[in-house]
Amino acid sequence: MKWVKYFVLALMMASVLLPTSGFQSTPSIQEFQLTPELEKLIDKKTSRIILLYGTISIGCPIGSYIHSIKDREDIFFVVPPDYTMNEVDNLRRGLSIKGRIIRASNQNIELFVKKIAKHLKLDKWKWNFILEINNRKITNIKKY
Amino acid sequence: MIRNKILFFLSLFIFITSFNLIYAEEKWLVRTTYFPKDEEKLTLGSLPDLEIMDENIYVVENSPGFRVLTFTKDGEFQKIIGKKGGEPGGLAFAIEISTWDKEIVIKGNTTFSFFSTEGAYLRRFNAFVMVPCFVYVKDRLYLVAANPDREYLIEVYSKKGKFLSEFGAKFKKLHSSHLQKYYPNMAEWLVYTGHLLTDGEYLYYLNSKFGKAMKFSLDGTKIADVDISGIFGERGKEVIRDNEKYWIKEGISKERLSSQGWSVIFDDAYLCGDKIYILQRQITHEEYVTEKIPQYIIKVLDKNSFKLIDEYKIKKNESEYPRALSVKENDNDLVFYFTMSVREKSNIVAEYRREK
Repeated sequence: MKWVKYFVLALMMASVLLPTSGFQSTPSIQEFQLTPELEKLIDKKTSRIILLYGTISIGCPIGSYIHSIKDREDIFFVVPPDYTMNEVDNLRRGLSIKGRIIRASNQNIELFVKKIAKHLKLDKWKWNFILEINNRKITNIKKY
Repeated sequence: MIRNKILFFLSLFIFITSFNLIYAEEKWLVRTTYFPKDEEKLTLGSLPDLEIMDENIYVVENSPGFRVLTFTKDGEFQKIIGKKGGEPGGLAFAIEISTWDKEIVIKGNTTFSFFSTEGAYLRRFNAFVMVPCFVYVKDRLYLVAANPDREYLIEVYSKKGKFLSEFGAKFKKLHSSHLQKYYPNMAEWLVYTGHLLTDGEYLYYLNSKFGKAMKFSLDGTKIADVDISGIFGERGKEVIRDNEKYWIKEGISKERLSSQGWSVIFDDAYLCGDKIYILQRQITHEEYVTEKIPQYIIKVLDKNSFKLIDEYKIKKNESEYPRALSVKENDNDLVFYFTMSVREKSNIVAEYRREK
């Protein structure tokens, strides 16, 4: 197990020493409109929507970020439709998330995520994105 | 004068007898074969785990490919199961294996992928928890779960990923250092690192950070809770003392993490029949990374009492480092299989037997 452990440990060390290493924000967000599905879900209190379309590693930046906001009920999470309900339950339990977790029911969100990835010039679209929300509008987008 | 002579010869006799007894008890394992034999055709990368089932050996490769290679017990390569990838059937990591009733389960990071022994992909699920070790038995996955928000250590899931129950109170209160404060999952993962074993009726959890052994029934009733740190000698005491200091009493610094993070008393454990076989490296982690050549020992414990009942030393080349072991009982013989890291060469799987 030693070399595997070193590799995983190195990844985790990087996340300890560089906690914002996977973080990037985009200056231009005007072209992004929330999908109708997301529009319906958010309310006045919603401050962030976290789109979990990338790999979630508990000890790496996205896991640590979620850990830091796990008690916030004004943040909700969207997971792809291929998550099983057991996995949604496990996500809540494993990361002790207090906010809502929604399994996307249609492909619109996937197209929306692809659009963000394209805008950020990411080579693949499977990333985790954080949408900052103010008055039901997106004010910033970050990626992990 | 005569009395002195008698005393001298008596002392000499006692010395020689003791010397012979000590060395007669020293038992060695010797290599009988290794594979793959034709390295031109099949080179093996990092091999963190292996398992024996139905006369076949399943070897986990975590780098460069994430996959399982199967061999016959004679070392003949059979097939590859799984491949690197994020799609169903793909593996994002391959770290540990467990088998039960013609199914094999591969643990990635927090994901568990199920395959038939024929190699067909069956299903997978994500537990979203860091898991130092796990075991699959009777259609249930038992995970040692590094989740600082939970009171219990062992979580039980159905093979479709439904959380069913939890048991086994945590036994260490971690010091609140930088790591524990900001990365508590990782800290728990390192502290509760160990091996979870089963004989189909009970679970055996061996913690390799502090030398603790626990036995549970499959419904979670605790049967035994034993300190086994004494069987690992001075090296073991030294490791446990440091682990207590840095993880419990003082807290671990970022600088200390790279050396102390993986400081464990033993590297692997395997349950076969009534015995638990433990692979111990007789060297500290710091000596190891500075390339000092360690001696490897197999400690044999009775699975019910956790008492040390036997010990074997491993004869190996200096460039080889055992990483994981599996054991098989044949008629009047014991066969050990190790995955070996080999410096500057393709890694190997080696078969060892007791020296005649």
